[in-house]
Amino acid sequence: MSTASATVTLPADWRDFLALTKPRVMTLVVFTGLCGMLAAPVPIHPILGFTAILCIALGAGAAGALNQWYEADLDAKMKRTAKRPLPAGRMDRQSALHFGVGLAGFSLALMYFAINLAATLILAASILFYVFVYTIWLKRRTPQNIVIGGAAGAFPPMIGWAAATGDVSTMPMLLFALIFLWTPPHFWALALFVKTDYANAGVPMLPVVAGERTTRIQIGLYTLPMILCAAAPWPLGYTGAIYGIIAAVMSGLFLAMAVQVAIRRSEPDDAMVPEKRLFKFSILYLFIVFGALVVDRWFA
Amino acid sequence: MTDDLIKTPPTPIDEAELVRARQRSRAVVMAVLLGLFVVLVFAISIVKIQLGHGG
Repeated sequence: MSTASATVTLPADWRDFLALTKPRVMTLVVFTGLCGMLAAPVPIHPILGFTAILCIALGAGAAGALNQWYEADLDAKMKRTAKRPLPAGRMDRQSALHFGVGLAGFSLALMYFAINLAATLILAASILFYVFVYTIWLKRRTPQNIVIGGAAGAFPPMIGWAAATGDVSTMPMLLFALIFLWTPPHFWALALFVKTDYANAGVPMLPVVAGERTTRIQIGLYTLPMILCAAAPWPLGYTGAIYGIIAAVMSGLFLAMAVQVAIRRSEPDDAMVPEKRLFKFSILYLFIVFGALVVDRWFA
Repeated sequence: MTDDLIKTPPTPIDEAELVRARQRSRAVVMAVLLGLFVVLVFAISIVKIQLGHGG
């Protein structure tokens, strides 16, 4: 190693590798995966359950790293993402690629060794979907990017369920549909108040391409089937009244906020308070509805 | 503002030291993770044997 060279390249700090995995996004992924696993009718051994959740987290981290590897140029153009390790110049792209691929391979191998084939295949599908379908194919091409790409984030409860049971039935599919339909109102609420950022980066988010009016209507339209999916497990007999009541109350609040956003028109220099409120509430919504699923299972 | 006043270009020796510090901290993190991985694989193996699908 050269000691006195002015061109010494700093190796990335381990914290930058951690940042590459998008830990905040991972929280929701891990939580929904854990709830899917705990809501399954078959109990799983705590060590195997921990391993399954670890694999989901590592898989999500790998997908996040590969997303940042591919989107370094986009991230550099947006205020929200410019401080990430790649656009900030704290890491080279090759390290990010190797880290992402290695982590993905490791998470899949561990899932197969410790859990089962079904969970491994769904985890592989979610990583590949996020990287190839969402990041590489859709994100820069169509305003439907987060609608179709949302499927990648909807897989974790299905993986958790499959880890416990070894298969996939109607209930995990409902949970998949719930997150899939939740994604557009969640991201479009965000896109409404960071529209300029997306426009500057050339990302064809719906508010940039189709305008605010259409986006607001679409938020309202996606909310309706989403709340039906959230409510469905109770009348279909998959859960009890605890889940049903909590899901109904939370869905009612979500609908009220979504309608407020849908019928609104922003003014110049608008603080976008209802949109920010809907975005924050949508995260809380998913945490509480999935948490209710587990509580309901415990009391059943 | 104060940063600008105290910021001086790093000397090559500073940089080499920083590289070594980074490598050291990465090696420590990697060693801890590998240790935890060994424990996890051991625990998984015991559980699988107990459950009767050791394969």
